[in-house]
Amino acid sequence: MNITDRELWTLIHGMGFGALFLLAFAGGLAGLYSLRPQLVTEAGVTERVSRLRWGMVVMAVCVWLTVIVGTYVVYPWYRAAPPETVDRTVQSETLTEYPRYWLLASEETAQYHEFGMEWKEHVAWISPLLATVVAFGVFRYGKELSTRPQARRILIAMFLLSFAVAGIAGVLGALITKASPLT
Amino acid sequence: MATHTADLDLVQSKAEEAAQVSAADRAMGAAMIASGIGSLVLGLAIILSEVSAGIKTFLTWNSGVGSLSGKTGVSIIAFVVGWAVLHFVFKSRPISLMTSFIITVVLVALGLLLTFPPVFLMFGG
Repeated sequence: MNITDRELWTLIHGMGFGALFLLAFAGGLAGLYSLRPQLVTEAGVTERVSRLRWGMVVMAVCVWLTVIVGTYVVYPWYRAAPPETVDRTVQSETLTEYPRYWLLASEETAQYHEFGMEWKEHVAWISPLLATVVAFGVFRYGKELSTRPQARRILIAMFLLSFAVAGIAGVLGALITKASPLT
Repeated sequence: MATHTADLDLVQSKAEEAAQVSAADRAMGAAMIASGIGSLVLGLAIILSEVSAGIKTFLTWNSGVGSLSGKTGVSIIAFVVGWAVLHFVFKSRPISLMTSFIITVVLVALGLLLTFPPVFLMFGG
């Protein structure tokens, strides 16, 4: 078994930070949803708010690290151009080292880049903005969230939006990696 | 005289409305709308880099990443600056949490739309 630097960083980006955010989402959503006085005692609200605060901060940090590592470590390898001597119109063994060009070399795979990567690389950056706002909201309202249903519902909506955007990027990333893995 | 009284009533009504918006709502409203501004600026940066080669070059802050570095960079700057500005603006002129949320959803939806390849590639020709 041998893992290259590229494979390791791709794993850190997608299966590390990215998956951590997507998996922790369910816990965060349940925490926000159940923060009601009729469901938990005052002591329970205090305990849950404390957990929720740090959980949301960790999740926001994870999304930021996902997009930063994805953009500044993995993406340059993906978009690197092959030397002029390499034929860019044929999906050759040499071209597999240059995923963007390998995908574009065939009409059957070009959409993975032209639609998939073009959308993923941009849309992913909206998720950390929204996740940061949710973490800020949980910190700012604190226990008040249990008695402010409107604020809680709005935070849940922002959280869902952040997850949906990260989900789009995650699914597209998985499809692109399956079609043309970074090796 | 009647107009003057109506104006005073309007001012008083706005002052009462502002007083009902809690400090937490004002802070949250500023943060939410800032995220919408950041999303929209990202979308606009994508369109502008498609329209103009000069802007695409200007947004290439990192050669390895290409113009994506600048597009996301200006989006984050807009988010942070927008948040700071709105935080102070909402101290004296607050808007309700629901209004802030609706504005945010509209801005984020526009930002999302502009990141969609079939939309932004229309501008690239």
